Amino acid sequence: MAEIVLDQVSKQFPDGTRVLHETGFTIHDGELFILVGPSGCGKSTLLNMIVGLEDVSSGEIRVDGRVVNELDPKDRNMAMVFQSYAIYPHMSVRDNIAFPLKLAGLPKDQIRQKVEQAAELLELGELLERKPAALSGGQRQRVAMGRALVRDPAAFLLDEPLSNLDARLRVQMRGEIGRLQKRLGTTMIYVTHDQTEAMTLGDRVAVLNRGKVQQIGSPRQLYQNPANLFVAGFIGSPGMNFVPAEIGPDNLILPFGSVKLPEGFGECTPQKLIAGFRPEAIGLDSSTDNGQSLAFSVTVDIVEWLGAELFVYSDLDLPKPSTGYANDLFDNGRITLVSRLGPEAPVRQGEQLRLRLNVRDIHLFDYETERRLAFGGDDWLD
Amino acid sequence: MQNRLETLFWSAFGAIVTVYALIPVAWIVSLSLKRPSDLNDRRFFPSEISFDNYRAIFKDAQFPAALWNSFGIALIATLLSIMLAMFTAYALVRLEFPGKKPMLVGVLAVSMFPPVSIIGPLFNLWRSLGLFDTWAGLIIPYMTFTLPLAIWTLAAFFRELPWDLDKAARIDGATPFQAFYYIIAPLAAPGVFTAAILVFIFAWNDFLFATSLTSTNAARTVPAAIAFFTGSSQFEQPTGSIAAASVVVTLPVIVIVLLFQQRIVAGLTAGAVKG
Ligand SMILES: Nc1ncnc2c1ncn2[C@@H]1O[C@H](COP(=O)(O)OP(=O)(O)OP(=O)(O)O)[C@@H](O)[C@H]1O
Ligand SMILES: [Mg+2]
Repeated sequence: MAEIVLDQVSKQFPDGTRVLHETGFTIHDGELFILVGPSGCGKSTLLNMIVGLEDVSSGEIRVDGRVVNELDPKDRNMAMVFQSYAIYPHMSVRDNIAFPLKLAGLPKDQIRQKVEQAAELLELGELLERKPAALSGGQRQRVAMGRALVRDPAAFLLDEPLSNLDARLRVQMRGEIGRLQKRLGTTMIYVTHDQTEAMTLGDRVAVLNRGKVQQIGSPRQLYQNPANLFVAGFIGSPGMNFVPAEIGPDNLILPFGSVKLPEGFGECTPQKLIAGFRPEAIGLDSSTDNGQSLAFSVTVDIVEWLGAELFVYSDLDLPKPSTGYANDLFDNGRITLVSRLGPEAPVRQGEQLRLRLNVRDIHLFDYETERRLAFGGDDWLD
Repeated sequence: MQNRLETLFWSAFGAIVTVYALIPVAWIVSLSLKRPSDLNDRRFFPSEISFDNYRAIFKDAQFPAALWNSFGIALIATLLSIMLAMFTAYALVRLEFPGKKPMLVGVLAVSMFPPVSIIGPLFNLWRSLGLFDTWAGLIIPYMTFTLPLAIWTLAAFFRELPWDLDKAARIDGATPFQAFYYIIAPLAAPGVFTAAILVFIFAWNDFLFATSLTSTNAARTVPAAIAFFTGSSQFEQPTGSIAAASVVVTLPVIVIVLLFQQRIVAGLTAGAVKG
């Protein structure tokens, strides 16, 4: 059990690469904390620093109030699953999983029992006597998990532990990890690329980009009240739609029309704005205009039918006299909009389609600072 | 069909090379087993097997002493050389320090240096230092001249080791020593044995330093001692004794290689890390 505090932690590699910039946040005792971010943003580096494999360039890492910057990895008592698995090739699966227990000096029969428990949980029962070379990628990954899960550490650090598993095992293991964490109540930091894992598993999620924490919050907060453009675009799949926007005297001007300014948008004065809305904010135009929504036509480009839902990608031309900044951001004036429709929606490629966007679903972002300025709806509060 | 032909081709090729390489060895073994009077009988196989030659070389005080010197000197030189090379290779692979590149190149340059060119100065130096005709007098040059080979072999091997495992072990609660003992050492062992065998063979077979830097049984090794064999009379060639001594001196190398062969298996690290 441990509360882990990162206090203005920076990391600079000897070759000058700055990977983390004054990162500060707290992982509460017993929490399942998710870390997401694009490849190369410093997630593994952060884990390595917490566990003591990389030293901290500046700032402090505290575990339960104690500064651990200089503490040896073995004295931090944390269990980690490496992104690269790092299982011991000259030991059998059983010996791999038993290794930390052996070092801890547990009696033989207890080791045996714990290893078999872990193996059962991870469906490794029949493979216990095999060497890693004779295992598949997913099986190796589960051995790596087993080696972490047999321990009783102060915290679990998992670096993309399920990335190599098939869909069934991934869903199952995700569930097992969640349950195990709840049962043990041990602090867990979980790094993932997977949207579903990030949204379903964690109590809180931190979004990291270019070595900076963009936002920390519950999955719902991140989804509904993203702090900036990056989080808005990163969380959710497919991502949020972005279009250039302007505030008129009493209306909001989007490339495909304008609509009465909802309350709350009045204070947004910067000239350069970006409007963002989720795919599900756009529906087929069937209702009548209530002054709170905006109807427009698009040409359907791609239709993705996923069984339970339908994603429609449609092209939109920016009007010619559009603002300069929009052209930088939106690739020569063309925007692709994604909308999430019901699976029975009668949509075919190449067709013209009437869509309707609800103003209450629009987020406004400052183009310069990329921060979110306003939201047509109500923010989610936990 | 294709496959059978291919197998046949490669086995035949291998057989030819093996026979070609083994003929001189077989010839020496055969010579050593002939009676002294049969040495010139122009037959490949001895007409009657006799161990007279072996008895003769072990009766002389010279040969057992040389054998002892060879073992001692080669073993100590190997141990020292491998130990130093291990530390150096570890530093070269694992640590960042200024002058790493020049150091690697320098090591390589040393190995290109022709030993024969320093024999003269070394002879004088050793005499004034009192190292002439001592074990240390041979161990030092052997160590020096095998270090580059050992460093390069070990560095190449260490570079391939999955060092993430070291970190994993530390997190699993191992001290640096335990991580080395349980994880790194078993994985590095094949590389160390390979390097050690190469170094041992160099020291064991060396003739140049052994003849130039020794003069008595105190430090003369087998290759040098063989050159000083005399026949039983001044008109007789010591062919039989030389053959017997050559066979005896080859045996330890064969035994060592066979013993450690199973340890030098490649691919021991397969499956450790992703990709
Ligand atoms: N030893 C190093 N020296 C210099 N730069 C490094 C070193 N290790 C990592 N980096 C850089 O630090 C950045 C962050 O790396 P890190 O492994 O933490 O990314 P990540 O978020 O885990 O990415 P991924 O999701 O692909 O695993 C990368 O840009 C990487 O190139
Ligand atoms: Mg990573």
